[in-house]
Amino acid sequence: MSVEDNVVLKASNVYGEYIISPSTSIKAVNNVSIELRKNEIIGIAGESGCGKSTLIKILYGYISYPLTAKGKILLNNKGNNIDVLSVSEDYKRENIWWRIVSYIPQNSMNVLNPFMRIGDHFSELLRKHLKIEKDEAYKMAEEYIVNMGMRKDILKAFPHQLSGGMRQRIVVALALLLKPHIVFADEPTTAVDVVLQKVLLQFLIDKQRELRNALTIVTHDMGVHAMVTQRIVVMYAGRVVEEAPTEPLFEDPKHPYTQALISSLPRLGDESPRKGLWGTPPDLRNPPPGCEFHPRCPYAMDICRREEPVFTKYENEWKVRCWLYLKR
Amino acid sequence: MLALFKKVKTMSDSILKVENVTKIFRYGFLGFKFKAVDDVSITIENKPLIFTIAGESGSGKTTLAKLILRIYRPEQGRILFMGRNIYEIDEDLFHKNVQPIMQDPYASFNPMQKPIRYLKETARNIAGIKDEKEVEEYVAKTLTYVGLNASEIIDKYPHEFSGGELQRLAVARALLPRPKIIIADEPVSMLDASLRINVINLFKKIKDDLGIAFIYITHDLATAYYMSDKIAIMFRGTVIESGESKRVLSKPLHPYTQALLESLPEPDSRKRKQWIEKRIRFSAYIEEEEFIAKGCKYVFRCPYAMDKCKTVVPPYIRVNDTEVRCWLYEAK
Repeated sequence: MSVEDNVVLKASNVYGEYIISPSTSIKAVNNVSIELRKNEIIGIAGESGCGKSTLIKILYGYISYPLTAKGKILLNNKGNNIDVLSVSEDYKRENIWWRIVSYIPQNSMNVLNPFMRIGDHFSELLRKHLKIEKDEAYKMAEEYIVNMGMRKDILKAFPHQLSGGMRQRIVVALALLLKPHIVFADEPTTAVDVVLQKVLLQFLIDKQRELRNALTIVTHDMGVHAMVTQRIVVMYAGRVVEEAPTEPLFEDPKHPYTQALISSLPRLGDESPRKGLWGTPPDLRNPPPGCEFHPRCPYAMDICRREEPVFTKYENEWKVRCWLYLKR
Repeated sequence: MLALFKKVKTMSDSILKVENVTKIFRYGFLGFKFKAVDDVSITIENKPLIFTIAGESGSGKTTLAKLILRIYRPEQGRILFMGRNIYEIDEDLFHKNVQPIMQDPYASFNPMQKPIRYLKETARNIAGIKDEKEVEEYVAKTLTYVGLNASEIIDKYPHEFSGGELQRLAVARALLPRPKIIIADEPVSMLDASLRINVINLFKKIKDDLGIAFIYITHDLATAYYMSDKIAIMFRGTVIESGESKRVLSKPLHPYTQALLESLPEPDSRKRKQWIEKRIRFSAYIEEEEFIAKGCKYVFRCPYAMDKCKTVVPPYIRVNDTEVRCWLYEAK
């Protein structure tokens, strides 16, 4: 077993652009390289418009106009490498989605078909992928839902009869049904209350521990990252600016943006004055020269305005994209 | 009118008093009724302070804000501003003194109109400044105060601003009439975290510099702890715990407040182990049942539920300056 076997998805130099007219496009994801590992919860952090949702959409392989993507995304399926960006959509539908990679979309409480019973959502998926009969599929669904810690009569309900939290758990259960190696969750708990948020996150963590898969959580909520993830990727203006194991990152963030992101958050039991960032993220149709963060950065130097920093290793597992840590 | 108002001012030691207010909403064909705000009483003292009303979605906190702003009329109870019923005060005078800041900065400005025009109208019509030059100066001064540059925003439409800037514009607009109190309903929930704190710090500055009180309505307990002096926690239309913010949020009494604080994910990885290990019990409770419950509304989820809780609404019980509505604290 080499280290490579642990990597279930390896993306290198991925670009994602939204085409808005023949001459202009928004560079939502700009030269991102990322690895997802088996049995690890990885978090993608950043504020609205930083490209975090676009990135996982590309990694999942769901690319449709106006989004275009290039780069290399290798999916490791038991030793066989599949390039997600070069295979057809039919192939992904048949062989990749749900089985190897699954995706929990934003607003997941509203993605169930309102005309279908919960049980039919499950049995249809099972029938399509396992090529089995309806009765058998239904029986499997029943077993599965009980295993997931829910009552089996839920299968007879229509989505509107369930509470939002229950529906979200159903969507998570659906995404995990075929035991995928990689699960992408896009803001899984944004619209819910804190108590329910904790219940849902606990559910996700428990299932991850059971299946030992690679769980990717995308959220702007640094609190969720601190409590749940093992490794964090911080994005700003389409770029990954910092990547590090969660605990050391929260103790001593390196990139000035990550520092601002963490130190601006008020905490219970702490009244010390906190400062935020001024200004706004750059317009991605026309990003500034040099480092994208320099207009807002308190440490901006001349070189930051002229030249792009490179994403380099700071320490073992720690990478940062900032001139402060680059030897010139 | 103003003279009368000044006289009233000296009489009252509370700026705003909500007394046993109930708001009933009906829905469905036969008019299924439920109380969005159920017998709520709060007092906001007449001094600059930030009073937080915290609760989850469906707790009635926005309805309460709308009742205070005269957008809804309560079915029962009354709301006193400076000791007078808000419906007995002249509407213009009331709105001069009680100003709102809404949640969605993009929805609070007319997209077809330059915000500067709106600010000037507010200065003319509500703050009552007549001279055009004075209006301009006053608006520019207020904009500088909230950290915006008047000359930069003069030609801009709402879509040309960022969310943070628009929210500061909304704050400037609310400040123009020099109100006594500002009702801010989730003012920062639509903003990015790094910008959020700037608006919150601005509120603290306004409170200290201008002596304006705030009602800060939120679901975010960390910002509530950071900025507010007093807090009231709402659940399903009732206030279940209220008192000094720091005390309530560090030593919560009500089981619901405790559950809220335990499930709050904090940006501090040292608390991680504790957070993961402390599990929350999830039961498939039904929201409507909680709204129409006869006794304590938290009884369906409460780990300490007793028989009494199911039938009798707990009264306000005072424990060390905190008021809590829970039978656990009944004097033996």
